[in-house]
Amino acid sequence: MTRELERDDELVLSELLNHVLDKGVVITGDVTISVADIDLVRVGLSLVLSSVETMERQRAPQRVAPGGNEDAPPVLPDRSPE
Amino acid sequence: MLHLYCLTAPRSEGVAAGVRGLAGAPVRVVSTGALDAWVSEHAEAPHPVTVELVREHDRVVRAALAWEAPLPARFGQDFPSEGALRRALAEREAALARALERVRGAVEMTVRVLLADPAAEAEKGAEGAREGPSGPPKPPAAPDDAQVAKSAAGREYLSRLRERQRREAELRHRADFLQTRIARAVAGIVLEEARTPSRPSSRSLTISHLVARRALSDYRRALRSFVDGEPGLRVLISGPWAPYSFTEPRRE
Repeated sequence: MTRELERDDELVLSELLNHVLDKGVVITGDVTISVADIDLVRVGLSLVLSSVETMERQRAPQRVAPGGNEDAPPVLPDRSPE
Repeated sequence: MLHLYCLTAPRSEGVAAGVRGLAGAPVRVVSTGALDAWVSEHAEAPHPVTVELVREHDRVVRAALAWEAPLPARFGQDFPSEGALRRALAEREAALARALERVRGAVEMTVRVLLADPAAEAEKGAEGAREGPSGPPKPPAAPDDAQVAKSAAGREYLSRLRERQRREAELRHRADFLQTRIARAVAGIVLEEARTPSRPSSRSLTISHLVARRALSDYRRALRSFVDGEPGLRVLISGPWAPYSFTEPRRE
């Protein structure tokens, strides 16, 4: 299922879940997140790791190419608030 | 039931007008005077939580961010009435207003580094050979050797435990070392940093930076230059986000 997502989509999704479900101000002591939601966070964390590892494998052959900047880190496209 | 998206500076009604929240519900503002709460009304709390609902929540937060940095609310805070929300806000109003002031004009950038862990890889390989279905079959232990086998298993267990502790300490050390170096690379550019706590065995180091909007290009340049000097380091940078990691009082 997750493999069907585009690589960047996976990363954006996992970052999104980690930010929205695990961070942010808590006004009430009673955040109504169920066990299923905690699983969502876990999905997010494993997604990002699998994504990075996938990227490493995909990038490995490119690194032998001389003169290029293939070793530049993957930078997610800006998600402009506008 | 009111679903809370974020808190903003006062007089945000014009910005919130027309913004749609969870399930397309219109977003409205509950103002306390010192701050505005962006909410939408629902017959019941949205369960189960889906990725789409999380996206919709963040979309509303981003609409506020386009105007001025809000305090994003963690997903899942639903209030039975406007009165209940007002009471909850009143209890912390001064602290929340200070927290809003802290993030004004800023956004969050998140840096995730994947830590190399060759020891774990080696052990994984060894486990695969020991336990994998294609591994060589172990010779069966003779019955009178049972005690010897048990003691050997105990020793192996302790040795693996020690190895795991050593590996976790090494990962902690690498993470701390990287954090220091990243902090040095963006010193003078970021306003604050926050490290996301992780499990001891985690290979991922996550650091969020609070960055003034006007300093974003300097921030990117500094980080790029740091990463370029670190061949082999796997780094993911995401943002700009609303300041999700900078909503709680600073730890002095």
